[in-house]
Amino acid sequence: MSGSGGRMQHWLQAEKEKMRDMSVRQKISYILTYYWLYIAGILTAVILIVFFIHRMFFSIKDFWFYGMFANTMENGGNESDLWYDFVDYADFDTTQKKVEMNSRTFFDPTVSGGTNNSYYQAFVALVESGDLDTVVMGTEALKGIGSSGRLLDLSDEKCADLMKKYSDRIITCIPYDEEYSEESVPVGIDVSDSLLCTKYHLYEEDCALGISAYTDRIESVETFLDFLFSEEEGSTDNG
Amino acid sequence: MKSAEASARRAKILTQIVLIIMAFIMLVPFAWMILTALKTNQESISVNPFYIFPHNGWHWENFATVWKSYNFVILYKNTILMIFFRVVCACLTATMAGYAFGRLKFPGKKVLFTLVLIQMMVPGQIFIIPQYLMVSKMNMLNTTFGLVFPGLVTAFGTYLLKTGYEGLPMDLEEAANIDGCSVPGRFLHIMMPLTKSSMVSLGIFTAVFAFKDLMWPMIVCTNASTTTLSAGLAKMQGQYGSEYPTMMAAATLAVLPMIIIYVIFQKQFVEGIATSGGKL
Repeated sequence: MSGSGGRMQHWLQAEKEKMRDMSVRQKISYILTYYWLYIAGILTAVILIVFFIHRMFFSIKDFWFYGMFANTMENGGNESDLWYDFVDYADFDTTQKKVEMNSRTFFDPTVSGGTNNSYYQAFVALVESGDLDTVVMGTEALKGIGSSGRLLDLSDEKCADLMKKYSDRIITCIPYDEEYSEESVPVGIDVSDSLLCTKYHLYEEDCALGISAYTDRIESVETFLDFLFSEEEGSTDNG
Repeated sequence: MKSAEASARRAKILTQIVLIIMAFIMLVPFAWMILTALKTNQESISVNPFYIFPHNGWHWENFATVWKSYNFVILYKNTILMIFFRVVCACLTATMAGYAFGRLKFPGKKVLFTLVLIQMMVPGQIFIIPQYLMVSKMNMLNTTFGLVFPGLVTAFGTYLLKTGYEGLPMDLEEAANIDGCSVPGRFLHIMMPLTKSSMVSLGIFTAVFAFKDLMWPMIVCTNASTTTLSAGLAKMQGQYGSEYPTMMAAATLAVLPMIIIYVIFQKQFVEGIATSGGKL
């Protein structure tokens, strides 16, 4: 350390000596000529570090809610009518946290090769990252995901309120993991007659909502379900 | 003597015939895509092998249909921006890292390079969740930065450029050193220009992989306004699942940027594959 420190001091001394008789303009010109690469490198590094720190600490990191609507051709994504209505209903402040909705996903784990496509892999990544809260899709397809263990078992005590409220809508499936259970497990809630179908026309046939196995925003999910079954004006519009 | 010449000529002609047939086979899917794009849906699903060309006229309106249904200008813009920034970032970071690993001496060099190699050995899917979380925590979902993020650094590029720098003679750098050239100066003015062919190879590989990347844009760009051609095309597959002419018209439009890039950089593409021994 002392060796490199000594070299640095010697170099600084030498440079000072060189610039002693130069005017300020000459000094600037000298530094820019011989050290522009160092300056550019340091500036770039500083800008990148500041950018990343700023984004890491001062941007909106968390979600109020992240919902996925799979296998639909209608727009149920960000800034769609569904998005605006839900944000209004839940009174979420989107300057504090994000509300993300994704309706650009197509996969069905129950068909042959259904788990090999990129959509399914993207879904798995979103579930495992813990960001995704809910997925809505056709009932049979949802049962397929439920069997794979990616959906929350609604008999879990944190879903007690949901189970009580939507007991007549529960969708069950048998998990592939026999060690977990050999009997049917509740993994979804039937939303076939909700606003998703009656008002926003995202689905024409039966559909169900599953909750990601790794979400910790059950309250938001409850709010979303309340919104889906709310009696809003025009909710019975069948297009 | 004459018989040997005739035999060599026959072998050459035979080789060329085989190569022409192979080239034709390689072109069939591409031609099929364009021809299907110009057929009616009925013609496209016909199993009659003589229905190679459209029988009921050339249906150019299939292109108009997809062009109207999807904002291709935005898809092209997002894809080109992603490719451009990924290529620039990959070349920039890989050339600097490659020079450091290939030419400089610093503590922990072997350990760090082993880490780079390990990154190449594990499947890329392993990094998707951490990368997604980083982009999400920076609130950069649905942005160009989000699309570019995994391409900021490249282990393969670092390895490729390190090999390139190691292959250069030491004398050049030593001569520059004696003349008083600093390390950044030697890198920028002497060594980096000599690895141009490796950088071009890396740029081509990065561009092709960025263009083909489907999963990452689907994860980080959920809005139609920020998605790329590959993800947009996948959505079309869902939307026009049974309308093959429309799907093929979309596919034809989607491959246009790569064809243009190939036409412009044809020589570099061939050289790049030859120098790196890679496969696109």
